[in-house]
Amino acid sequence: MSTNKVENITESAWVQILKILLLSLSAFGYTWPLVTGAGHVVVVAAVCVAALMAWMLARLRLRMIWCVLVSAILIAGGLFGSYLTLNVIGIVDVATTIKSSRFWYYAGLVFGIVFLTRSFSLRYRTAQIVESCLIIGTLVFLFFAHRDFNLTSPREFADYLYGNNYDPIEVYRWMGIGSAFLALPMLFGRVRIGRAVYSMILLVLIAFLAAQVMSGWRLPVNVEDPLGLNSTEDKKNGSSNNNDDDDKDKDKDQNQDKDDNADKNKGGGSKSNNNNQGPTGNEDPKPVAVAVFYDEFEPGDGIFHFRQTVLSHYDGNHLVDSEMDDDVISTMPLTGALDAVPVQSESLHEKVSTSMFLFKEHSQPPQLAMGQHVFPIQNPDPKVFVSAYGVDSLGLTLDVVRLIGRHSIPQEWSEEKKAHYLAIPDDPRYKALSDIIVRKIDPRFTGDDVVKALYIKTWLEKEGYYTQKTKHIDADDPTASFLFGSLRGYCVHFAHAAVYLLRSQGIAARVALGYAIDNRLRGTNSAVLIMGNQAHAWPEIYVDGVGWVTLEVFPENGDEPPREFARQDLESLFGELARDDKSGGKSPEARKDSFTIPWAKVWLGIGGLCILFLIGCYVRKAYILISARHVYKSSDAYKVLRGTIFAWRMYGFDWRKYHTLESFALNVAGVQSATKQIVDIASAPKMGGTISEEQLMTLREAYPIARNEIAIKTSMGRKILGWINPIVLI
Amino acid sequence: MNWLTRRNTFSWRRIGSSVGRIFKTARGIFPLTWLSIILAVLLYYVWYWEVSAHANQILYTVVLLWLLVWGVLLLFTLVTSILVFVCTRQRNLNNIIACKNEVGGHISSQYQVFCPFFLPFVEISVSMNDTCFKRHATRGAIWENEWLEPVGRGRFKAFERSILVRDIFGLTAISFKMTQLADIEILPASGQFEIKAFQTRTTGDGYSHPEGDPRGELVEMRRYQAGDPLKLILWKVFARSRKLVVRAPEPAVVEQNDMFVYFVSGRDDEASASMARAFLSSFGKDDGDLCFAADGANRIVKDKQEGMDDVIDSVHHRSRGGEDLMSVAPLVAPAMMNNCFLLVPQRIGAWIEVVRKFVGQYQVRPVFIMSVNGDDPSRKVKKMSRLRRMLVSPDTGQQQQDDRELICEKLSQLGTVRVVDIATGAARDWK
Repeated sequence: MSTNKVENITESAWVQILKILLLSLSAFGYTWPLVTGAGHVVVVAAVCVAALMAWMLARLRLRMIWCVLVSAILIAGGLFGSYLTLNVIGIVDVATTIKSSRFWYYAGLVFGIVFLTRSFSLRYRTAQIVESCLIIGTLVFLFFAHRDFNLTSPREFADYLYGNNYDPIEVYRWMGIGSAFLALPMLFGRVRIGRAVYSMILLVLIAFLAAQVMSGWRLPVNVEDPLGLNSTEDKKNGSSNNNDDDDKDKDKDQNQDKDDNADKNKGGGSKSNNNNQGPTGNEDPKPVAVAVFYDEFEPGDGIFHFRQTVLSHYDGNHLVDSEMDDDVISTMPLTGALDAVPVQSESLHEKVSTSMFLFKEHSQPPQLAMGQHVFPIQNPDPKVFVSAYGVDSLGLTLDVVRLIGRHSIPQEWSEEKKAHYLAIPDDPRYKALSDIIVRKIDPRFTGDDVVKALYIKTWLEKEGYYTQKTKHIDADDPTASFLFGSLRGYCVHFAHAAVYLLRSQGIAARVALGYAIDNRLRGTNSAVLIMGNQAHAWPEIYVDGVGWVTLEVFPENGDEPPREFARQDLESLFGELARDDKSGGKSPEARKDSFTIPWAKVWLGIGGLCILFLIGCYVRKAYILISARHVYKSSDAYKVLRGTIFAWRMYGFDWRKYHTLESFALNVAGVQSATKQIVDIASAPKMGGTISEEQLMTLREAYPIARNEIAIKTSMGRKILGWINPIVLI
Repeated sequence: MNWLTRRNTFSWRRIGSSVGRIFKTARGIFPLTWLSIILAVLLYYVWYWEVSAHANQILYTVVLLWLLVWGVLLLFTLVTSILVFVCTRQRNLNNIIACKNEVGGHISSQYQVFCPFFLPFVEISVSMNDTCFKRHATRGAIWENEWLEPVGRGRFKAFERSILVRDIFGLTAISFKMTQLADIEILPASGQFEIKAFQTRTTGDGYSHPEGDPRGELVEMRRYQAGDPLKLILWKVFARSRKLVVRAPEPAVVEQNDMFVYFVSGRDDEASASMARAFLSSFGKDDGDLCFAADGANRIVKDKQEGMDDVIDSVHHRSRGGEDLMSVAPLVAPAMMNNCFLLVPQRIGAWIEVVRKFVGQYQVRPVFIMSVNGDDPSRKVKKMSRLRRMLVSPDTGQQQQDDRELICEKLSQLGTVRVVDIATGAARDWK
């Protein structure tokens, strides 16, 4: 009866013990971030008890339907117990209540799940796949999860690895190998332990070789979404809707382009930098570029301006870019380095070097402040970044106020150039308005271009209302519509209005396009993450002896929600990705400590273990053969028998082919043989007999004779093989 | 039916069985198991949902590694299967076994299967396709030797073994059959037997028994038995019929053994066959008249050797459900029907209905011999309660016990049920 009970179970006893251990580890891993020390004990205990209970009930042939019911009751009981403890009982202190609640919750949940999976696996082998998945899922859950399980956050462990000098992909690869091998034993059924261990060792060796081969393999990453930041949408919409979403995005982008072009045609002038911002503003902004600094730099107005291009030529309708702006690099450095015509005063500017890494294609390279030299650099990861280039810029170290007293247009400018930077629409209202604004200037500063510019800037900031809801698309001159209308608009309108007003006062000005990042809202690391929603337009004025100066307009009123702080985790992650710096920005010494798998030592260790194993086998062999010669107590008589059988086995005579040792001795050695004599005498204690001193002496004498018998019956080849073979099993 | 007619005969059953055989062979050679197929589907979805969509590097490695392991296992299973097939076939090419043995005996088949210990990842298991043999194996470093223990009677011209090569994870498996030529006759096991088991009444033959068929002047007379007083012999009758008879009311001193014994074959009839063998062995020539028949033979035999042959051959007629009883019964002298013994199997089957029909048609009250091997069906086993039956799956051993009890109950309504333990020879009536 008991045999039947065991036979209906699909697994050997040792396999079950191994699986309980692995499941305990798995449950420990799953609950690691969720429970405290006592909770871990509860979880592991729940796994052990559930597995044992499943085994006992499987032996008793409990029908599966009841197992499912028991699991459901256990899980429900755990949840209910937790709820009850937390909400109803609550008579003890808070800490105890929470602990008790967690106890019921995890004990019930883990117990129920493990009991169910074990019950299925003990009856149906195919169910063992579920347990394998649980094991693999543990590592994925623990180490591949996004921070706080938020899909738009970077993966916590990868971030940690980047920051600590490790390559996450390499570590993940080893984790994958480890979890695959931990999951494999969960597929064991009835298997002999020796064969299982032997096979697993060989599989590990194969995996090591495979890992060497796979070391160059990288998972092909979707360039459009390298870090899976759109996973939330994908999940919501499902795979079937992905194409639709792409189409929608394209449509939205196209619409946005249309809007921008409309603005441009109407005098707005902005290019399609807002493509990466959600068109409705409700979607999460997407990163478009990351700038990596190599030195400290803080802009005077607290805003990092990443300029792409400028609009300075008034074509009778609106501002467009012009070849006159040769101090601005507006093309990507595809073939080589590009230099701007130097117009900035080096004495008043600080040289800043940055590296730019773009996630999205741009037709003009964003450059910090006044980019002077743009050159291509190696893309650290083409799957993540679409392009990379270095920029040497000049950043103004002074506040604009410190420039008071300077003129705008230098004497040496040609008339054509003056006209170029002073051209405005043929609308007298610009001049009239600007005159009204500058009329209020303190007489001491009358005629000072910088003061005029500051007054116009201040007026726009006070009077203007920032909103993206009013676009002035239908107007012939959107800037006039904004400036002489509601004064409601966004950065493009403010920039154009400022430029026209400034020009009307004889100040050379132009509109710059690019991205603006508030220094107060970014992280503390040396990288600046540029998001799609940070596209911006701002005015620039020319100051004699200084060069082009950014004159940012900050409207005091508006309906824009306050800007959010930059995602420091994202910023840090992308920064490190961009650097491809194994030291994680640390000192060069840290680079030496970077983790590499010491293959030479690993192979040496494996080789050493093999040699030790061989030595152990040979020592065992020698001990068995030698100890048979030195038997002086009747209790050691078995050693002679063991030595004799071992010697036979060593040369290929297996006693297990015969049913008993007696029949083996009889058939192989003969009736009158010393082997038979040894077997007869040494087997006596098993039959309840004893061995006298005389018999012991006989055994000692018979052993060398038996060895001779073996030697006579064995060919030289077999003898050599017998001595070489380290593993002789009896 | 010659080969020509056989070829032209269209039979769905034959086509079905051929297709089934081909399918079984193909399934055996197909190396992927259900576990493997489920795993393949799972890996596909993991790749599709997690690896491709979320760039999961851990699962990427897991999937690739499992595919590698899968490939390695498949390779080893294939190579091992080929090695086992070729080496085993070569080793046993001229290995033909011929012997005569009995159930529970020991047959050294000399058959060796190639099972090298050093081949990793795979396990080789060998099983006999014929359930009449239990295979015992001793595994060496390279070869697995075997000896066979017959557990069922029969005549065998070949042994068919199924060799299963599978990996230790159960992902790949290949099975194939190998045949060894043989000429083996397996007798039922020799059981203990008391003649008391086959005694019915303390009378002589059934010629003149009140319950028998009266015939002429032999009404109310019975055959003289050794030990009867000579004065009771009806000498006038002897003068006319040359038969020594006495009057029926006179009690017999020694029991008479003229009887009709029928062996009903069915599932679990080995104990019953042992009883048949013991009975046939002990039934002497001068003990009286014996009519013995067995399922499948369709004849009455009086020679015990022939009877034994019929018992052995009856193993191939288990599916007939005892229907030969109705065709053999008319051949038996009606008077002998009074001493009718039916050796019945331990499992319930269609034969019960045939027996019921036989009893009804011939108006006899046979003695049913239920042979058991050690365990007594009347022993009160704890019956599974309704609740327990609802909770747990039934055990096959328990099922057999229930069957025997049920058989005894059913048969006790038709005649006397006698339970004989072939291990000890003890016999007693059921209830």
